[in-house]
Amino acid sequence: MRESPRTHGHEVPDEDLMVRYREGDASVFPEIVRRYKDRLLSAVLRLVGDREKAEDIVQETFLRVHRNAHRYKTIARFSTWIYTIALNMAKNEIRNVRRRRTASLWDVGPERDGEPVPLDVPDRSERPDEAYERRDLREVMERCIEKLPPKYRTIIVLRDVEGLSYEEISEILKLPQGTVKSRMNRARSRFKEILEPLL
Amino acid sequence: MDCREFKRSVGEYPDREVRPESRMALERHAAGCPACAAALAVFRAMREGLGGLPRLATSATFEERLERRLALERRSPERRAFLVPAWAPTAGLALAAALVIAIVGFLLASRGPASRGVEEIAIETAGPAAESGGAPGSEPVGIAAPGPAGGSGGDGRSHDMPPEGAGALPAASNPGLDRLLGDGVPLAPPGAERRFVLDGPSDLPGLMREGVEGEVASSPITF
Repeated sequence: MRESPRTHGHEVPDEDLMVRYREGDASVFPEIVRRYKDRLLSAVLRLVGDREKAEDIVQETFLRVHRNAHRYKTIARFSTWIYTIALNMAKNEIRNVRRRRTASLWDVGPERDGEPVPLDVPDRSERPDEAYERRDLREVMERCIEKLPPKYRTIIVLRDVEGLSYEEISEILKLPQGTVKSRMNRARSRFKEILEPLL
Repeated sequence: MDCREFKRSVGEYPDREVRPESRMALERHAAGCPACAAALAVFRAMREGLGGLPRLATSATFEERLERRLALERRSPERRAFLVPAWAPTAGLALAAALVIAIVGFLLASRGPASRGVEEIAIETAGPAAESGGAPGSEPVGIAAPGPAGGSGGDGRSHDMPPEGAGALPAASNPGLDRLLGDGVPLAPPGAERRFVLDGPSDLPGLMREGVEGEVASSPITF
């Protein structure tokens, strides 16, 4: 009798599920999907901004996990592995979208730190407190995330929204932890610049 | 903490792992500095807002669509790659390496006595089966050991020289190679062209089974 993904009330670790799948136990795959589908969608959708595309990317991520299951080694954390697959596809999608856009917030206008600055300037005729009261904080946050340059958006989403550790982010983005932290500081400074007029 | 230090550290404020004492130091400074207080308010909103964003959910049909795509994948040719066990590529490489060594050994040995060193390597590669004259299924990879009447020399005897009647060997024959080939395979004189028949285990690719068992033909060596 196969062991369920929950043993004595505790979840079987992702890595153990993946090893079982690699060894031919197809029954664990739906549990892997259940654990990660929403987490991945949250991250990918906030990066690419298009729900249909984001769901395609997440579906393709699981298909790649299936196809490459025989290559999975437990030296790598499963979450790192699956996020890396998803984010690489999201990055490609962002790049393709930027190439396809003809006139947009990102194509025209000044650049800072090598990244385009959005032209969408908030309406300053409105009192800040009225704007803040009128808008839900969540909506404001989503809008600010959308306005961030991709490399800052990625790190803000992974750390401040999804709650990944610096170690995990460092493995996913293949950057030293020090670089991740300094990029995080710059991302938050930029986020603050975008958020401040909207509050 | 002064304003310069505050500006350097305030970016950590939204971080969920920031030490409580660091956060309190920032708040203490902001309590006495209006400009820094305004900056801290924004970072506080960032912390609350980003941390409170909901996890987005996949659509209702997501899992059903994924299951359909997975089912297609499992039925497709790529599925065979998934089913190949992890050790298979390594075993294949080992098999290929053994085959190359055996073939090289034979080619060198067939030139004459100078190839003695290679023959020893070939025997070592072939293992005990070759030493004992070859039982069915235990022949070294890729090397024929057919015995008389279609069978291989399954008598388990160790042969330094082929038994009488199995085919006279010329004086310059290579006894070590003979151990690999087993009984009944006459060696052509050195320098003669011949077709070498590989009749090893049944799981070798068909390419290795061309020719008739025991046949020695006067044509270039082919595989």
